[in-house]
Amino acid sequence: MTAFAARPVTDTDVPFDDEVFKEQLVAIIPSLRAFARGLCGTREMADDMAQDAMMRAWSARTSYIPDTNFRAWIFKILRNNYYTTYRKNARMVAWDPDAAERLLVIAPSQESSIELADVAAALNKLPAEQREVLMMVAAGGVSYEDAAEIIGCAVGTVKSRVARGRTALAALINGPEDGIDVKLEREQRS
Amino acid sequence: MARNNRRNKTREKPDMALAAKAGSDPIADALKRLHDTVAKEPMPDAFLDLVAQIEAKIESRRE
Repeated sequence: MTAFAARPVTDTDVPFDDEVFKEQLVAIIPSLRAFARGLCGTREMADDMAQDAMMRAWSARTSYIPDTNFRAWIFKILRNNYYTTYRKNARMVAWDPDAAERLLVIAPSQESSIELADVAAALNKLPAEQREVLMMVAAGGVSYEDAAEIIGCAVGTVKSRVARGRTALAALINGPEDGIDVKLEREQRS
Repeated sequence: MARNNRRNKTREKPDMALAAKAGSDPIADALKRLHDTVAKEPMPDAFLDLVAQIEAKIESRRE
């Protein structure tokens, strides 16, 4: 059994402290919103997804094993719901080209070499499977192992998606000269 | 020299999470800042309302 897998509740279970669960839920909100923002096309959708994940987590709290990886557990809930909704709703397949502009409302910063609005816009153009690993591993500091557990794939797959996502992101941000790796990968695949 | 060049060409890409922490990879650093910017936003009222609902449920079970 994985560290944060759901399990059936039995009569011998010690009742889980709802107050502790609520505190964990509140503490995870900023990370949950950030992950959702990277995954979804719009700020509104991301916050809806994050709230929905919180409600689902609360309903399923008896299946959470105390002192295990709460972040991975609730990220998995959000991710699963995102892909379920994504498949059901064709509207979400066609990405809104203006969504990136609504993703973040950030004033340009003079000291940073890459503007966050550019990153948000580029991120929104990547496939969901690359967006999610970049937001988890590169942005959120989730370990490769936890990301693999959340997604339900091998650690090597996560590493590969991070590398491909990073290359594609660099190409989108910096221009075609950084897209050499992307072209090579396409050629190698064909 | 040639061996060193070959070694550099085949060098693995840096771990993005570690690179972001070290500030050595601008892409990783930008993603980290993107995450932190959202995480530091004031919590919307809808989330506060949701937490209040949960607190009310906990309270009602205690009574």
